Amino acid sequence: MVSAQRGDASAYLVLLRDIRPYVRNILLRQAGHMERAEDITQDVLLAVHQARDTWHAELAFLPWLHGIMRYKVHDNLRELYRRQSLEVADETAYETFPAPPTNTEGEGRDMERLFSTLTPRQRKLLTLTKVEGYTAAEAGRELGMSPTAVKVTVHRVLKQLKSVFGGTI
Amino acid sequence: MAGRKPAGMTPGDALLEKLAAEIASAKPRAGLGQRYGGWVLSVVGGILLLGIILTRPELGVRIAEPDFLGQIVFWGIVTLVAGACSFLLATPRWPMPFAVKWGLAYLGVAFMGYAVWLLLRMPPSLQHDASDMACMVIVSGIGIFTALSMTLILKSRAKPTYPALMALLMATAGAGAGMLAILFVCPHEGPGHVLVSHFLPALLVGGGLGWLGARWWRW
Repeated sequence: MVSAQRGDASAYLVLLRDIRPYVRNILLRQAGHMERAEDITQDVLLAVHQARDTWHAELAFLPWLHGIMRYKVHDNLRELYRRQSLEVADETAYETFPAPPTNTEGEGRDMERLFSTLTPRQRKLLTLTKVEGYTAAEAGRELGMSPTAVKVTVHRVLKQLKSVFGGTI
Repeated sequence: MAGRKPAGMTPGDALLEKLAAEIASAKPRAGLGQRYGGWVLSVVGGILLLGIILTRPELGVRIAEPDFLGQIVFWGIVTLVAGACSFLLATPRWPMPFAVKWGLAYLGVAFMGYAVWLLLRMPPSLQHDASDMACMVIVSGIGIFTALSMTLILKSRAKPTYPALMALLMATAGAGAGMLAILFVCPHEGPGHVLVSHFLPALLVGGGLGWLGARWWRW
């Protein structure tokens, strides 16, 4: 960690590779679900990266790492409960109230025009995150990307679209 | 092709490669003692400044009396302990350090003890010698200044494992500093006045700051 703080990329990679299975095994016991444990593990590794300047050589490393893990587990559970509470159990509710009639033909054409400037991968990414409501982690899993890469790419694509279409999007 | 991950590499492996590639040297933050010392100096400076501007007339006499000195020591220790605990919690750590557990126990006992002491001094009919808006403003102002100075010293770079607890302790430090400051300013020491114009505003400001801080310190 001392070398990593000095900017030594290879030492940092070794550290991350060493702690990853350790973190995942502990989280697997807590989450009880491989996929969720892997998600939180990635969050923990990102948090280690963000918080690396909070560690001092005089502090023990494991209590510091466990502090991050504990926070991320609670954060993840809070997000999970929030999403569960937003879900609507009444499936017929959508059928009872049909959507108001609108002229969606123009919107469809606009979307086609916007999407025609993107690569198929960018289109898929934008559809997943902005249309279908996937989280960065879920979209990342679908496309084999890390959540960070998803966030960065979506940000770049939106910026690119804005520069092409200006205030029309 | 540049940027494409090699075959067999999982998203987790790709993340590690990406993080390692992004690494720049990260200077460790100033030591805990250094930051805590800076905060204590700013709080003492703020209280002294207020004391110089708005000194109560008979402070010279009161300062020699043991019960007054006892109150100064009591609120001083509450402020220092609560502040130290929140600085300790600013760095990720699990299990919680023993010092913080002892600090929490001490603060719980101290606040309950103070409330009991205040009630015992209270005459049967609530001795409410007028609530004073100026006292409320001073207690609240010093409380907010104390919490704000800690926030500025830690900036937004604190990464607490327990953000709500850290915020609550920070607010407690603010409430303690407010109670300490008002001792040098307000000559009214009737229990009713102390309860309504000093202690309750300190608790309310502490609660409000704790609620806000619990959101602010999430990362």
